[in-house]
Amino acid sequence: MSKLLKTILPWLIIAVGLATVIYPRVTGTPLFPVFNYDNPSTPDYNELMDYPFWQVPFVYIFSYLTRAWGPLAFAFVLGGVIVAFVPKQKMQRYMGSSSFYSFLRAGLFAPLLTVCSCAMIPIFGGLLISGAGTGPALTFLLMAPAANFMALIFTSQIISTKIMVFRYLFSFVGAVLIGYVVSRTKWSKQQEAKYASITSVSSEEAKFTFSEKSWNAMKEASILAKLVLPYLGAGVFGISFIERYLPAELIVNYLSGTTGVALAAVIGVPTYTPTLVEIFLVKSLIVKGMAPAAALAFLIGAPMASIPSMMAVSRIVGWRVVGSYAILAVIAAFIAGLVYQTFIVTL
Amino acid sequence: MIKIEVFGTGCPKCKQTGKNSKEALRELGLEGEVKQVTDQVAILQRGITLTPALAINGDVKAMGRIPEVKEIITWLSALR
Repeated sequence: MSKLLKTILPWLIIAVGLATVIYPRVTGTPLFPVFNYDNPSTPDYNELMDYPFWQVPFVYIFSYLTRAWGPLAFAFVLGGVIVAFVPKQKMQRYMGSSSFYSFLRAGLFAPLLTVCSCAMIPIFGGLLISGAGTGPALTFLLMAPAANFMALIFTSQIISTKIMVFRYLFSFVGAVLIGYVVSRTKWSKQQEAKYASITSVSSEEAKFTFSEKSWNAMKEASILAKLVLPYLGAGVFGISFIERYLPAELIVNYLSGTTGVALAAVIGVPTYTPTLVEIFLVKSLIVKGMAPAAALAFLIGAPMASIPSMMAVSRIVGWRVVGSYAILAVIAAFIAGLVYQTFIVTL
Repeated sequence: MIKIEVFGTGCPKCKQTGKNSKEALRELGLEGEVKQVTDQVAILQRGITLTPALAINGDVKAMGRIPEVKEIITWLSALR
């Protein structure tokens, strides 16, 4: 492939993907033809019910595919660009200073540093041993999965931009406050002392030209896609049956109002979903009657208090720290849902 | 004998770094072991804050990216 094409490709894909995201919001019609199983002229009836059992997942996936290929391409290539262009070690050093601002920096930079969720725990460790300590490390740890930027793009695209904005804002405020509060506890300070003698090593950052970085971005994008798409496909396959068969009365009774917010905040903890699948799951529950406030609580609480990540972190800082932030995360998710329900849903 | 350590919890990037290391050793015809360090606490205690990371004989050469085979060859050659 020519060097010019290698350099331009990621930017071209981002532009086209962005166009498929923005055009419908501006004009109300999609840029490319889409297939929607749900007929908009019968808003109270979900046409998915008309399809036989074995066709349900394929109809569902096809419908999403025609609407989501653009945002998917945009999200993966943008993710690749972020991995290839963001100077990770420089940002880590910047986040690691011991001022109050490091809480804010940890919250702001988290989405830029954890496109691949595997990097989350080492970077958390890095902040722990830096001058910043447990507080900003926890803020980073909580913000990264809750405001993972690919998840934000998809939340906006599949659910609503309003929910995406508040997911981001409440996650940020929650992450900063919880990080601060937990870092003041005795057990957290003990952990910090345990790691105080370790200093991080630095290595030479490889220098690449803009062309090389652009092509690296494409390679990273394909790594991301291979990592996420198979599980996403399997997840959406399963969710199609939820949307087809789960009784709506169950959802409306338990997942609306204040009870709904509380339940959604709590079930986030044992619910483990692979990256992006939680958004499709929440969307299908909303179609069934889940309240937006409950959806928000779930989208904030589930990533912050996910059991696999809690288990990994507990090996580094112990269960007292993890338990504290998990409980606070569920409370924060609950409060976010309540605030949304009371003040924002009518905006 | 040369000791190459690959730090990472087992994601595809870490495995690729391991593969590149073995390939570099083979191309230079050197005796060496490639050890995968997957325990998070052990990784952190070495001061490593981004994975995948690679160390040759205890010296951390790359952090947060997959080093290419030719880069690893350059580092291995500089050891002599």
